[in-house]
Amino acid sequence: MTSEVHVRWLGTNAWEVTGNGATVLVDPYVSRTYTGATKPGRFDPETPIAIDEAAIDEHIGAADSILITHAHFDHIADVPYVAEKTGATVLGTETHLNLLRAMGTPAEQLSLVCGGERYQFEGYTVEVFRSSHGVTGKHKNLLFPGTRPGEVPARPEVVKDLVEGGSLAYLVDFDGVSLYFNAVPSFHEREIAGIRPTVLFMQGANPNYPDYEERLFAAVGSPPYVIPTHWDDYEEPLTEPAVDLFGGAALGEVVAQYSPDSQFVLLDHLESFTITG
Amino acid sequence: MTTANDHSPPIRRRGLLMGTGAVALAATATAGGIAAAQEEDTQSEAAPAVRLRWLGTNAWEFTTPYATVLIDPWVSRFPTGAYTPEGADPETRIEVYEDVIDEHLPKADTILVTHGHWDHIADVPYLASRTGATVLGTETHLNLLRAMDAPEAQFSQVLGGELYRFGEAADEGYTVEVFRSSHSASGEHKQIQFGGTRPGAVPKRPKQIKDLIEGGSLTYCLDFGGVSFFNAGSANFHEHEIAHLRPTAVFVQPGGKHMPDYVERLLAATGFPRYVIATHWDDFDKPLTEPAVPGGNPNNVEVLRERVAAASPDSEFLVIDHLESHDF
Repeated sequence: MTSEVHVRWLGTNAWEVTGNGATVLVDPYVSRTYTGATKPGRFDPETPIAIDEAAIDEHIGAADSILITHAHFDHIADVPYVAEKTGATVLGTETHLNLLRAMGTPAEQLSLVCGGERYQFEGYTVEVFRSSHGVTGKHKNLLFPGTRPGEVPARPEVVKDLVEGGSLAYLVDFDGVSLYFNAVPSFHEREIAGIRPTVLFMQGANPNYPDYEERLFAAVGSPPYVIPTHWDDYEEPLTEPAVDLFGGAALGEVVAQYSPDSQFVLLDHLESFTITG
Repeated sequence: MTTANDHSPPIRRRGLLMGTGAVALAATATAGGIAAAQEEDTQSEAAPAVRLRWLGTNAWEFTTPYATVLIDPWVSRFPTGAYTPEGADPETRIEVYEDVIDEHLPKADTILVTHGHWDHIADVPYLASRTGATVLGTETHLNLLRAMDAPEAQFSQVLGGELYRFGEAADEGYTVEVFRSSHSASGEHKQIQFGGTRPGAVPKRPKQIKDLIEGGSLTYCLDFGGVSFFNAGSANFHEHEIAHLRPTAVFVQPGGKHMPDYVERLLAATGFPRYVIATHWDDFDKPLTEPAVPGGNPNNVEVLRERVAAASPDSEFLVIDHLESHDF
């Protein structure tokens, strides 16, 4: 069966995937509120969460599913508005969904997952995997760590209120064209061993994680396509070419070394790519 | 062998378990006098190693000469409307009918909880207090049970990944392996009914069925030494968690339409077990003391039978009615 799947980059880890008449969004975030996060020493955790509805309306149309990898502001802040606007099913951990509830997201659209699920949607399946967020610094710190299980917490007002809340990875399959989101240095090797995605959405190395690329390609094989993600300075405009802050282009050399049969596809802001199964 | 309404505990032929084939025979051959004793035993109508009895929903009683294990023991069956078009009324008051529990569940050494919904957990506080059984569940399951005054000292908190031995003597014991899982999802947005957890401090006492949240889901492999059973309380499982598991029998239930190839993947993951047992297929607003009435689709068991036959033609599909037993 031949199927065509289109992917479009919306900056950060935000992706729009369309195929079989359906649209799946991963971490849809286009508000790009200035927090100083990408400027050393400038990050203000008390920055109020702000949603740029005009930007969302400009760049995001329909959606059937929204997949959340974790709850930091640059992944989740726009989801309440996008979910309301599209009526999409939102997959996330109990904490992700509790934060979304606290921001007024329609509760009946929230689908609680923990990793291990495989769901049938109309035109595609989604498999969920446990993962971890990357850490930084001498003490391997996780930014805004923690969870908010149980009762719905107070409404998040500033970016530090959006705690990580656990991390997930997703394999989305459109009749054999499969896309793996959240290939990060902190991935859980045993969780994803044996999957064979058509497209791997990958982030660059992190010195805290040994042999990242080797272990990743050992786990997922040599995918036909590797697309770098979350490499732009996400406080610069989405409507301008991406500023390569996190080594998007450099990933090409890594892929050439560890998975020479893969095609490296570097997409710029708002650019699309089509995969034919 | 399926028998109706027989409460008498089975007597195991010492050392010889049905279904273990050459391995068990080889083991008994070295056991001297015991093996000799069995020679006669096999001539008679021998009692089984494990008697499995269905109490409706996903409530199962496993009885050996030495122990009784219960999974999701719930027999109070107060009506909620779960299989009506409107679904269960979330504000239905939780009722515990002690006389009904006493009638149907005389004993327990271990109670395995698959998730926190009322039709799995509501009778556990009373049952645990009366029997002194060990109760396995997640932090949330146990917190809900604490809030319903179940005996704390009997709680065994698990999260999946544990393998425990129960029983004193090696040949009188059994093992329980615990696996992470998820509850099945339903509806347009793939929601888990009463989803969520209550870790940390003990929550308020649950009064209505919506207070008994799912609290994470577990699956269990219960191994009596040669005869083993894999049970999930809902129509879902984590394939990678249970790959390579080879139980004698696996429980399957209707539903799971949001989980692609649930039945087929479950049978493949568990190595196409010799027995496949239908579970959680009855409308539990209907009496336990009468034959089970399918919940939802009136043909749910037949649909399941056909799927199992197609996916695993060598498996025997067992439908055990309310309060009936099957001996392994």
